[in-house]
Amino acid sequence: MVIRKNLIAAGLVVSSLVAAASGAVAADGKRIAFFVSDLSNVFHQSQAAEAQRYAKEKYGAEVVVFDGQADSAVMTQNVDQVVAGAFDAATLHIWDAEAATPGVKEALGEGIVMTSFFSPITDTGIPTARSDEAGVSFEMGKQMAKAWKEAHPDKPIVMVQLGWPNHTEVNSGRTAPFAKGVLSVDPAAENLGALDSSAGQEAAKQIIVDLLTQRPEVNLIYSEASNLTVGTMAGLSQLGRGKFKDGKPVTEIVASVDFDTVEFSQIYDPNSSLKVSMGLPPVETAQGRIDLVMDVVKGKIPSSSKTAEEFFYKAYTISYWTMPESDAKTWLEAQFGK
Amino acid sequence: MTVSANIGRTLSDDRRKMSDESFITLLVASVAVGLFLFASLLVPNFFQLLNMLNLVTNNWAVISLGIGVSFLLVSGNFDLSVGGIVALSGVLSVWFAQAIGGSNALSTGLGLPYWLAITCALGGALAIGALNALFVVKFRIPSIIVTLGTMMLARGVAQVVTQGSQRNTNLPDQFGVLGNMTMFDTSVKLPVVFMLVLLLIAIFIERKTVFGRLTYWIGANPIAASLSGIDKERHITYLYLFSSLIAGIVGILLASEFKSGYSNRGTLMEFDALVIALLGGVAIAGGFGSVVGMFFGAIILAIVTSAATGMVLSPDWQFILKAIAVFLAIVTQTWALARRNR
Amino acid sequence: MTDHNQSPVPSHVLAVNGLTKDYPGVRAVDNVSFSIQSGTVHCLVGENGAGKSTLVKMLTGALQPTSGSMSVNGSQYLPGNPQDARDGGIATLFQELHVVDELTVLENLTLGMERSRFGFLIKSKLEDRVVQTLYAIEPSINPSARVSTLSVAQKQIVEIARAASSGASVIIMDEPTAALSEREVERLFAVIRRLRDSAVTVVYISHKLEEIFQLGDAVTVLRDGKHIATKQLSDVAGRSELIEMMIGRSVFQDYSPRTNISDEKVLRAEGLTNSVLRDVSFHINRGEIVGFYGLVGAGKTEIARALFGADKVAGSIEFKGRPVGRSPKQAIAAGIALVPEERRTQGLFTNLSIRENIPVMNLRRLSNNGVFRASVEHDAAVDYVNRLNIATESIDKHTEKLSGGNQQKVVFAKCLFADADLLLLDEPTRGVDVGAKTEIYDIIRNLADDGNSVAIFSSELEEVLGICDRIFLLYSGSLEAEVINGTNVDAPHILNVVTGGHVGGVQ
Repeated sequence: MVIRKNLIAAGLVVSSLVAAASGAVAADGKRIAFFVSDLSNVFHQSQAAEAQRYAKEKYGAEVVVFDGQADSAVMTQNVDQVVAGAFDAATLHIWDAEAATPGVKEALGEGIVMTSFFSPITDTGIPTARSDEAGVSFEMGKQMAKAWKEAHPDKPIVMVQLGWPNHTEVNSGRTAPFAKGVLSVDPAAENLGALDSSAGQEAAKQIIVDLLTQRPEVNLIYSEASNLTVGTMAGLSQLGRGKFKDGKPVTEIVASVDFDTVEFSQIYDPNSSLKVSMGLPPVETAQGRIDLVMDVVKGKIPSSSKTAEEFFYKAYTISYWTMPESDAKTWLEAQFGK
Repeated sequence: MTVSANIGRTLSDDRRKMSDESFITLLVASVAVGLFLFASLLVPNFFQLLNMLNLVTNNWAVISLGIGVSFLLVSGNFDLSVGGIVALSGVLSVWFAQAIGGSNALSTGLGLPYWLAITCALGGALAIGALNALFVVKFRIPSIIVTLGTMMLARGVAQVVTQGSQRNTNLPDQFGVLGNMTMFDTSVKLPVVFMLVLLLIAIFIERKTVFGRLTYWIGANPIAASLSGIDKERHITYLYLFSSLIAGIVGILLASEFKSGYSNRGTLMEFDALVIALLGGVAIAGGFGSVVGMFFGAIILAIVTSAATGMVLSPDWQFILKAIAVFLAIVTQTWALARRNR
Repeated sequence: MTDHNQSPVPSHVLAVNGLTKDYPGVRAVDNVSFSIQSGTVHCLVGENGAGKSTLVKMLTGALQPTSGSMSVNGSQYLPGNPQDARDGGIATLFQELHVVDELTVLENLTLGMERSRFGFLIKSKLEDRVVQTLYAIEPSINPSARVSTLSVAQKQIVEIARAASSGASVIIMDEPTAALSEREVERLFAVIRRLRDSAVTVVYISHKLEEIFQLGDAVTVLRDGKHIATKQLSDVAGRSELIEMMIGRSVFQDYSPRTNISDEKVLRAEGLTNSVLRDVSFHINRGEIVGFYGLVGAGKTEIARALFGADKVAGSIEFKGRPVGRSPKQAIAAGIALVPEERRTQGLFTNLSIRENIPVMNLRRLSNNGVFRASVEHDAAVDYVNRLNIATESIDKHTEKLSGGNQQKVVFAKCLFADADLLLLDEPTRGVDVGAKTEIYDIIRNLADDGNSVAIFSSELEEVLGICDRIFLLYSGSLEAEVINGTNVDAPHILNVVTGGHVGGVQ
């Protein structure tokens, strides 16, 4: 999801604030500022639409969407808009937590309810909504290890992750729990660790080619974003790998994140080694974020605590082994529309 | 019109003597070989044919870009726009080829036939090259500024077309053919062959043609070149168009390989292309360098990257290793050249 | 010059003893010993390759001797770098300009001498002193002017002022008058004499022998890296003795009228006018050598560049009946070639070899459907190195490593390769030693005898009188007079015209 593009600095996005903060205040409802890192991303478009619908229906609240334009400076500036725009509450999506901290503290001082999404804004202690990526990553690791051991009990497991080795949330939600999941099946499995693929799909491809040439024994690969998976699969194909035979692993098994229509066909192809992916649901994510911010408004959850409290919302394990193809199709349509 | 003969003086047989360019190229190549052997000691399975081939095949894109960039550097000009052009032409080729009537804006294109789509995408790439030439040649703005601007312009247009993301749906089947086509019954793909052919052509142009020599003259002394009747404006225009055309083709091949038009593709590739050229001994001030040197510069960088990957080093360490390699290679060259010409 | 007779008991400020410098295969300076008396102008002469530059580089710390020793004021002197030399009281004024165009005159004068306190630059008496020195040499230069706005001559003067104001006990001047007009030379000489009278020693290197007789107290002659003689100039019989010591043959040539000049007007220029030139009209005949003589800034270079199409100019230029002047490319195609004023920055590709320099002006001869004909290039290089007697052991030698005279011969070779019918030579012998000068004059005469035309743009009267058939006198951008050269030419009249004494129509 957000990872797809957020760590890559982007300039020059032309559009500005998409939803203007000018709407009339709902009669008795609250006004909620809903941040997304980049509204050009399909995931965030779905999420924003669902947040507006859900908040109105369930709480009679008005949601105003702030587009971060994939630019951490814009996101930080948007925090100041929350104070200026007389909002009652906000659910942030910020890349540079440190830069945003003063703005968040000021808003808290004004009595505005502040919550965050994805990254905790550590120094402020405001509650944070996160998708339960860790659970899915663990589950995927477990399933892959099982499948491998079943097909090749004699070949020891060697795993690697492609992503953002220095990124705290990626590590805690993807890299680490995936390894735990694998180790839960085979404690003897070797973990090579995470390799930096932040430069994109060409980098992912190059890393796969270099790594698997020198370490052909690698057999479980976690490609931590769907964009990288394109490169991973291309690299495998260049080495003559990337294949399953009749639903059984041959040389390796690949997991991905941010399940989409392109991955759909590969996961359910019995001859491709991409077999699992994390399904991040914009609908549930939006609902979770709105629920969290309203819970704080209602006083069910303290507005801040010493260490930021994290609240997890469901993410899905889209798996060749455990989710039927038709269910996956239904899921895609429900979350992203046809 | 003999004034006086060179009595008692013999001209040494110069054609056997190595030029400074060949000397540096040989030096860079030796460093590459030495580095490969050194890495083989450190990294298990590093010393194998496939790994050597990977060094070339993994880097076909940046080596291709390095060719245009090297020629421009030799002529005394920068081209930082190539990375942006890679993104632009890839995104344009996807957008033009996507069918009309997709489910959302990013899956709807212009529905042009594929050959027309890539021709138009190349047109977009050449337009950026023409802009570079216009501002550098006509308005005499320093090329580093001009191409920094067009780098952002090209990527900016790519981001507008993809709404800052990517286009990868609703494409005709033949879109993925060029980038994934294997050649001569081997696993070598068309883009790699494209790079090798381009490299051979570039070596020929550099060594054997008047065009190549003009590039050196202009870079060595633009004023003397003009006063010697060289139309340097036209030549530099050709070089910018040449470089942008290569970048355009690279962008189209990458888009085809990954079947997507991705607005951040090629990020920092312009700097990689510059770095490998400098590593390969191309003088930043112009008038000196060779594409073969640039090729081995790319290999040096690739060896470091590949070894770091094989050792699963953290990104910070990879960065430091690359920096050390670049620094050492450039210091060695400067030192060796100074020693040779003392 | 008889001043040295009144000098106090001579003491040696600088002495070299058995100094030797070896390059691979070449001994550039061979066991040279001599000493220089303080408070004198000591001239250093010798042909190209005689070892003058190498000697100077060792004196200034740019090169380390292979063997031998140097002493300053009796104590051991071994500069490891140019800064050591400056600290040892030896300042150098190089032949090539070393001013920073982007800075002001004053900033250039104080460059490297800035004093700072707590990181802030402080103004000091230094500035007053350099301003005074500059004023003494050339009152018309504004210290706050940007150097890029100055003429070549003025830039040179800034450099001289810089060396003069640095408080050095020895100032080495390498061809300081090469870029100066005669009036400016006189002013410089006055400054040099004043420096000497204030006990500063000047080591003066020049190819202009008259200057040496005019200015010098003593002279040291080098030939082929060896020390030939060090003499008081009063003991030197005359130019011929000096030349004898330098090269062992006479080089002074007088103009002898040439017979085979056609009256076919190969070039006509009418009403050339631009920011410098004012309505300049003339013609050049086939087989003729014409001279354009005037002070620096009189418009010589501007005419050369206009004829060559390098600068825009109003008026008309016809060469062999066809209009030219649009671009250098067009000029070269029509058969006009230019040897520009500054060979290092305008004429040569200094980091390329002799071989690679020569063919640039004639691509057609070099190209076989776009493919480079390396054998043509190679053969041309060997041919011209032999014909023009370019001193090099290899045609692959970088031109930056050649001496001034040999560099100029390479520029000539470029033009000859271009098969030009008209050669424009802007200061063709500036910074060129006597021997090479003679050779260049021979080349020019031979070209003209073969039916080519030559235009020489020069600020040396001796040069135009020695070789040109017809001389155009320029003053302040206009063509003031035309002189037919001959035995009874009136030199004082010419000097009068070019210094603005005679403003009238063409004779």
